[in-house]
Amino acid sequence: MSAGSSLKLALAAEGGSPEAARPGRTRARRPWGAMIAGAVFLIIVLGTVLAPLIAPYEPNQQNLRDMLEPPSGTHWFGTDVLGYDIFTRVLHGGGPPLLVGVSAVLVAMIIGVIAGIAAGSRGGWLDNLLGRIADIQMSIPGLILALLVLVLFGTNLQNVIIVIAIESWPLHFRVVRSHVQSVSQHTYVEASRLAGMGWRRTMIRHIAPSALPLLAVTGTVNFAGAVLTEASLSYLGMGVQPPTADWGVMISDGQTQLGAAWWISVFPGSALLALLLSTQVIGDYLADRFSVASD
Amino acid sequence: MVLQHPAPPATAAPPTPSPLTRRDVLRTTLRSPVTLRFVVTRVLAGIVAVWGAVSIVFLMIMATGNPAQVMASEEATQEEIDRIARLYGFDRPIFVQYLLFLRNLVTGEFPNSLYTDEPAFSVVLARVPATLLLSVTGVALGSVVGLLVGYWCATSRFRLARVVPMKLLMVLQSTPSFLLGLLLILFFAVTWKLLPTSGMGSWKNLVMPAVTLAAYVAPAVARLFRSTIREMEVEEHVATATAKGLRPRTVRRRHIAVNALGPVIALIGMQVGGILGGAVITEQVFAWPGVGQLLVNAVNTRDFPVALAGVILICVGFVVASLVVDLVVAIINPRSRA
Amino acid sequence: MEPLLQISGLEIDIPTRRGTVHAVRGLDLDIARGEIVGLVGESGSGKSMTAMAVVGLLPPAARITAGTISLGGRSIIDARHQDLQQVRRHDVGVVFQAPMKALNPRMMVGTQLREALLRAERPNLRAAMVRSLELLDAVGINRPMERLRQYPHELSGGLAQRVVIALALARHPRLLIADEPTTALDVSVQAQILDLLDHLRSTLDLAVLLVSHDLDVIRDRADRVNVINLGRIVERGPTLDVIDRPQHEYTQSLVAAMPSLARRRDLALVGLHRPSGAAAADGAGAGGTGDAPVADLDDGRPVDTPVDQDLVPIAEAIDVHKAFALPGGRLPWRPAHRRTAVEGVSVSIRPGESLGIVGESGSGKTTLARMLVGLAEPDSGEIRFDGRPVTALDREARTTWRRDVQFVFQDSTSALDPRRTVADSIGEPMLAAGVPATERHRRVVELLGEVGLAEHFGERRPRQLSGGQRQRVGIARALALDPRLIVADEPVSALDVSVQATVLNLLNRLRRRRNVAYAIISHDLGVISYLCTTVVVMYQGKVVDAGPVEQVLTEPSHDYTRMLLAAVPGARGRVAVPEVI
Repeated sequence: MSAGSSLKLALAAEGGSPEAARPGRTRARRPWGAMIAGAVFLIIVLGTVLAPLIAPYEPNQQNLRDMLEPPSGTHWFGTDVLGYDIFTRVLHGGGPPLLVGVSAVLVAMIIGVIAGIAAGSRGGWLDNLLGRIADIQMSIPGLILALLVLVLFGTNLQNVIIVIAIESWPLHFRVVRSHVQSVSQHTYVEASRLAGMGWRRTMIRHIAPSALPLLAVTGTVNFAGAVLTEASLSYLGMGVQPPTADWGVMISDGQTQLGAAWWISVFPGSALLALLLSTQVIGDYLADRFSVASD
Repeated sequence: MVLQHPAPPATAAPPTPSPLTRRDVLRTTLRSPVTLRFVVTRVLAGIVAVWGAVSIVFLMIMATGNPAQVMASEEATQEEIDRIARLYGFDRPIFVQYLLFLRNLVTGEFPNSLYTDEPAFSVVLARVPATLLLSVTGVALGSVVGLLVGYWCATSRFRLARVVPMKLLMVLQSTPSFLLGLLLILFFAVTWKLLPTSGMGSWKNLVMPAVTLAAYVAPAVARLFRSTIREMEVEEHVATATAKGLRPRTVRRRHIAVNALGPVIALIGMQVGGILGGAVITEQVFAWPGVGQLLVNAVNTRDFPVALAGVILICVGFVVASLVVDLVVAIINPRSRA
Repeated sequence: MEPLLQISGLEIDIPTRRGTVHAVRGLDLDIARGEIVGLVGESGSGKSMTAMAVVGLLPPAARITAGTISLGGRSIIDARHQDLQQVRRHDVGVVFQAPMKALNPRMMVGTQLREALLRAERPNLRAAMVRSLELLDAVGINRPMERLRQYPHELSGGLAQRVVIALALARHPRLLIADEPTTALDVSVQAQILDLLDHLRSTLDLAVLLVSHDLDVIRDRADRVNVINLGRIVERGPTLDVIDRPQHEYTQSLVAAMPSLARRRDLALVGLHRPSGAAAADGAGAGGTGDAPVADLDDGRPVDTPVDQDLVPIAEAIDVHKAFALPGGRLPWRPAHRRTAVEGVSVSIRPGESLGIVGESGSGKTTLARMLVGLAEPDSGEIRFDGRPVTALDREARTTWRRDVQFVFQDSTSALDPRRTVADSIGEPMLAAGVPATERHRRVVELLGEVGLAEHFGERRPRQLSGGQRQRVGIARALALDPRLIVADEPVSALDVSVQATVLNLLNRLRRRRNVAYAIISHDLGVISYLCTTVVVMYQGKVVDAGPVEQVLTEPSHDYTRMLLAAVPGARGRVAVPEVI
């Protein structure tokens, strides 16, 4: 399988754009979709960061007189069983997913890029070993691995970040490795070697610049995956523990009340969906754009 | 008027004087899709993967510092813990422990469930049929829908028909399984009361879980199938097929769509892990009594023997599924059979 | 005689974002039964476009805006009917350029053949098989039963092309369109495939449209020829008349630009400029404008001072062996196959010498070249630089070796980093050698001038250059550190004839001016005879023939060399080419 198609598959499997490797498509129109997605993403991030300033109530302020209120002027998104204000908690609830997303992706990228460069440029036993490790690790489904780790080592945000990072480094590893390999096939890399450039300078001059756009794509894809895993774990009760506000926990809380008080689940669910969807649109746009440039 | 085709050239005498036997015909039409080497390589790789996964689990138990305590219930006395430690060799050197761990796995001598006191593996195995039913239905449904939508969007002549289904699928792709599950319950069970909310029983119980799982599979399949078809369209052998005089529809199906299946099946293979994860969530949402639900319960109640047995079994299932996918890919792509 | 295929006034447009490209502009052409008609032109001339229009396989964007194509007296395609009516496809068979890509990789040969048969001829599997065997036999494939169950990737290039021809013949066509049918094949295989087409033409009374860029192929095989340039036929007539006594200036320059065995080596090649604005930028200084072919005249002739055999060779390979591991046998732990690429080869290049290394694909010539410059290491034997084994060189001597022996790559697209400017690429060796920036800049400008590119080309990126310009940049980079030896791997094989001529001229001029030694790897005996003083012929990893160019090419001592020479198009009246399948 060629390098291009394995990249395409790796991205597609992680929920990225399968069109990534499609060469030669030029876009003349303005990327309205991506711009809207960017705005939505920004609003969610700002809302979460500024939650303490703009939220109308305290996130952990019980108000048993106002429990299970439907959406209204005083409680825009209604209240839950304990009388928590849903709007306030939706604002605050984005914190854990965003934090987990950003940190896990950073850690995964650092591991994946270093391993990928090593495997792609050295080849041989190192390549085999790292590839094997990635394969074996991929043979434990991500969510299952996370459950196991969290139950053994305790459920806290730090462990969630670590486990997601460990689970997702192979994505960056594979993409970087196959990129390094495919660029190395170009004779300009050999020419650089013949010109007397050392291995490191060849890497910096010829391979790194074209890898950055790819990392933007894998980073985006990975971020969406990390947010989803965090929410799933919280939903299963293995992530953020109540009473901390978190979308996954809130969705799970509302499930039993679905018939009576749909708003408890639906609003945090919509926020989560908006974050995931906007990330995906941005990721697709990046993949589409950079594949044109890198060909 | 139809042009007269000239008769076959008289000069070309039939090359084979001996008549073709039935065996000749079969031999030249059928050919084993995989080589022995291929199967052996993949099975070996699968065994290595299972071994690796099991070792990781072992390492993690060790990393907790007190494996015997992990295996015992929370109220266990020190004596009980010591007994378990002796039984599984946790007081021996780590290398011996590792070998004992592997031996116990092979022979099935795993600690009993802390709650039901049944052997952990039989507790898990009892749940396998339910999970198999759900995942096979879900994946089959998702693949079929994904392939149909992908094919449609790649070949339709109408722009709207090409674009709209893809956008819808994109939204679906971003929707977490548990959220979609809740929405399905909200509408089909709570509001319209068409389907049961949870549990397992008639086919009605299967509908919503299977759809939820299918929704995870279908979008990626559709998008990849569509883009692969469109890449295949410009390949030169497609021109040959057209030049041979095949009808456009035959060319599209036999020479483009079938060839484009390879990457899609490889994708499903790479997603098996995600699908199993999705199954865990789906089972939880719909209280479907499968391995996933058992696993989550075991984890929440700290029933470690069952949790470990579940994890190991899921890994084995994952490896087996990947093996099957590899074989199917080899049938479609002869070049990958080496 | 009534022509079978008649194209009249054909015009094809391709709308692009930067305006409409008129690919074919008012083209007339006809072919009668039992006749091979050549259509010759350079890339972008519209020759393939014309051929594909006949079978309705134009790219989706292309439109036929005027003209008609008729077959057997009935119009089948015109501006209103873009696509060929289905039934007509039975009358036309197509042979494509790259046989491997033209077969479906997923299907066995037998399945693909069966599909191609007329419905009436495949009532059941057995009947289809009988007919398939007949077809394979007709195209000269041995052991046809085995071939039926093989996949395309298990066939050699020549065999695959025969299968493609069998597919084309499956429906008893009356016309065969062969679009560069042998460009992707080795010389010896090329001769066999062309013989086969010739044979089919006469036995089946086929009309054949032979599309090619290679004048020698056309000269050998076509009864009549049409020379196409920029979508128009500029000259037509009986083949020998047109090629040996060209009237139109485009044809004249095309003929003059061919490096050919038939021509004496000391004739300077005349480069030609294509008379269109965009394409004309290829020559020296990018000056050529207007319709007149501007001669990129060489002011002298390749020097042939005898090489002093007492000089220490700059580079030398002594009894080198190299093998590559291939995936192994039936079980994974069985040892892998090893394919021997180079087997006990010794060559040397002395100062002032220009060594040609000639051979077909798989002969090991590229591997040998890569070992000479240190891109690959021999398994045994040694590579020497200035008489010392390169493995024994100290750090300083290694740097000298790297500086003195340079490499020019075959594929100029891959040899230049698309993200870096031309100046940056040319300056890379100097940067590595620690030449200061201002000095580097000065030298880059100088080098650009030396390879005939204007100074402003330094700011461009590779994708803004044509193939010939990119190859010039590659040469400039090789020259950057004043090397004593340049090893060039197929330096012109990816280029059009006219561009090829300018690059060959440049190489010859540089050799004379700079007194640099060459090792030229090529499959093209014409290129070798034009550029080289000595030659070694490689076959299956071994040197089978060696000596001064004149001697080897006129009195070959080895059977393989004789076969190679006989198979070269343009050498008609040759000995029979042995069938090797």
